[in-house]
Amino acid sequence: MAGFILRRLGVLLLTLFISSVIIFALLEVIPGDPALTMLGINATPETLTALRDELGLNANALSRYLSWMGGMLTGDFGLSYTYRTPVVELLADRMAITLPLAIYALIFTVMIALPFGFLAGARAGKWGDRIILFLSQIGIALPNFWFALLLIFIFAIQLGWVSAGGFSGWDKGLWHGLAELTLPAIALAIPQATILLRVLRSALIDITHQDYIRTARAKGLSRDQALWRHGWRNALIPVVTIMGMQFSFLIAGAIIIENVFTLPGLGRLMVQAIGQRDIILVEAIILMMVLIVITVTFITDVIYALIDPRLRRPKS
Amino acid sequence: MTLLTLKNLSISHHNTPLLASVSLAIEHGDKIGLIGASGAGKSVLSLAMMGLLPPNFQISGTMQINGEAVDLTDDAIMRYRRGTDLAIIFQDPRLALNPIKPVAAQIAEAAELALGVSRVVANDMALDSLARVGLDHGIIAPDSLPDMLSGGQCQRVMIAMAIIGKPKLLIADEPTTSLDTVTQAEILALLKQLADEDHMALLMISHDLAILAQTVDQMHVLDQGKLVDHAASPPFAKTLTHRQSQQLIEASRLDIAPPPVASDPNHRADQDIILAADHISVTYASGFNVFGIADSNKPILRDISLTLRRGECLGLVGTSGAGKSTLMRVLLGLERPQQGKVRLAGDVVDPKRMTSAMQRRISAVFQDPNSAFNPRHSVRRIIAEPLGLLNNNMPQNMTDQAITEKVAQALESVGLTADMMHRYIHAFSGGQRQRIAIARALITNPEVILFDEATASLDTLIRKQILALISDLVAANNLSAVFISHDLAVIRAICHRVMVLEDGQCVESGETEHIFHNPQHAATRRLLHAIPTSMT
Repeated sequence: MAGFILRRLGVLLLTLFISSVIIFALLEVIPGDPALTMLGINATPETLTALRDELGLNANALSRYLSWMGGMLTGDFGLSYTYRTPVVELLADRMAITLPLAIYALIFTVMIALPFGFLAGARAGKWGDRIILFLSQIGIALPNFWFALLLIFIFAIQLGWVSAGGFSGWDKGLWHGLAELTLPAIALAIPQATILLRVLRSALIDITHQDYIRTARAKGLSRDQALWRHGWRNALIPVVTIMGMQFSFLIAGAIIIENVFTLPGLGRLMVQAIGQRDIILVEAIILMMVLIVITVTFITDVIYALIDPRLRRPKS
Repeated sequence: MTLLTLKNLSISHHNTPLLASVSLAIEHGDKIGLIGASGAGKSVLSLAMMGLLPPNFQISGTMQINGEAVDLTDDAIMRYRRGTDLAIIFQDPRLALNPIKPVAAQIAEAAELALGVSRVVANDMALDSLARVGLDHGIIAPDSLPDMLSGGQCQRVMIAMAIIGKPKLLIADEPTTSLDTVTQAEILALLKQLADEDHMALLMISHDLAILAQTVDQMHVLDQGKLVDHAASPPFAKTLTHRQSQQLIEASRLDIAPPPVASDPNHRADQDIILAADHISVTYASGFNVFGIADSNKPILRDISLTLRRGECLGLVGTSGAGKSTLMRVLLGLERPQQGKVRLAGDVVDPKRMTSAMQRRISAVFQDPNSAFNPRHSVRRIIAEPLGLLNNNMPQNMTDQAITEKVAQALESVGLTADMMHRYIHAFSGGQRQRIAIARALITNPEVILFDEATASLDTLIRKQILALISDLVAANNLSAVFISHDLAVIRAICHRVMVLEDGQCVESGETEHIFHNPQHAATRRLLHAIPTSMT
């Protein structure tokens, strides 16, 4: 297992290095002067020169890449051009919302998908399965922003249990912060959960017909016992694949829900940075997202290996 | 007291009768064979006796175990019979084991369920049981996963799992069908030995009389859901008189002769060579370093040379893992050997430079006719597809009419009818599907056809028909054929010459009859010895 984790970590670092080169190269291929692109055509020559110095555009590409990466590695992400604050502070602020929100939403997703997916798969074709399938169909069809508005209308406006949006930070305590993130997390989780549920259901149905389930039954296990002892772990393999992709989406793609609930998350920051052509900030956010996605993939790989011992062996 | 009695067991599925009034009595220690062609209802019967049929099968009739009636449809009752009174092993042992659970743990689970012992005791029992089936520590580690074992070892694990609860009856449903003949002989001997040691009754199910005849003491014949014949003791060939029994007996004798070779005195022998392999070696990467680059290699084929003359049938025989299928891929131009060259009618066969003219000259028929076709394509489209290799690679150069005629011709040449071309593959039986595969191989008028275990997944009746068909086609079209099999009996029925492979090496080759009568190498003798021949 240790060897497996080391191998995967090597792949992780390699991927990160290649992504950083690609992200850096993107800045290089933007036609014309990056400083001019950022400032627009009305820039004065003085501000232009100042920005060129700040971006280090006078040095060659290799030394600029090295100093950029060197800064990243030492926690110096540079200064955001529009906010005039260190990028690392901006990222830290936004991650303090986006990461807990994504994890919170993932917990909801799993809590809905696993029990209902297992129930539907184990009782395929029966009434419980049909009802779950019908509800999940609605969950997939509803746009999540509309569902978010519905949640706000019911729980914030009608019942007044939580605020309709915004986030007042973690200073007021964990429970207060979680309460404010509950509606966005549910809105994010429902469409993901319905997809995950269907993946688990069809994986289980597939496994029900496998020969080794018949073998387990021949030992004297009941149908449900056989599925529980021999099917469950096998069915988790596709579920973990989808879950990994969904978590990456929760980090990078939560922008619509962040807008509906006026949450200052990473997605909103990126859209603003792109709109304001703050290339330093955009680069840093993209690298951040790449890092998260690669890390999630790494964790997914480790979970695979925990489920399926065959994957722990060196491939042959 | 009689161990198990079936009375008037009838089973149907969606109003299609599968078993009709089957009655059977099994005493303690009996070794009973149940033979029937595919589709006769053998597996339905074995699953029904275990209470493992899905709930949408209608079951009537009674079963008694030690005089006590059990309700076959009541899973709560049948569960406690499984593993203790009745146990079963299945056809494909690799698929029958949970792929992500160590084999010893899977066996131990059976002990816990059948005997109610603790996990610790069950683990010890599992090790003992593995040793009983010949898989002690030296052979496999108890925490091995099924994919690290061979097919024969997986079946031994299944047997270890089945016998651990000391069942009174072991049902073996085609237990050796997916194994090579040498492994088959070992598994059959093991089953017989365990049954004798434990005084356990054995119900062996097979389509192959020869396999049953060397294992069981009495025989039932199942035909279209009915028990039509019974022999209380050997020799079965004399006692079984029903028409279906006679057919099955007849089919297990592979008395087909290889097609006659047209000898043309005007040709020198070396001009006649259509396919030649010259010092072929293939290795596969077996280990990888941190960067995913191969750092160790496993030899699959070592210095193999062969020649195939026009009109000749060459057999390649060996146990699983001998390198037969890799050699086939090299001959077909699907894989490039690390060393050596293959020449087809003088042209070098190279995966990256196979011209359509060369591809037209060679075609192949594979083992499993159930997965060899796209289920969404009509039979006409399936058979006509290789025609793209003719006419400058452009199928549209042939008119629809011409394609239809060629497909009709190909279908008729394999004993099917032209009107079948518009159907889809699900409408055909296993034997018919293999005929379609042969028709597809014939459509380009090839000079060489490679048959890779082409009869291994067919029952004996169909196997004999297909072998006779291949023999006729080879003679009629002056084809050359390479016939890969693990079964020397099949090779003998159709091949002029045979090459014996072991661990990627050719250990013996020569005229088939000569090899049969005078085998030189130990591997050849093992293969010969494994042929189930006892018909008495």
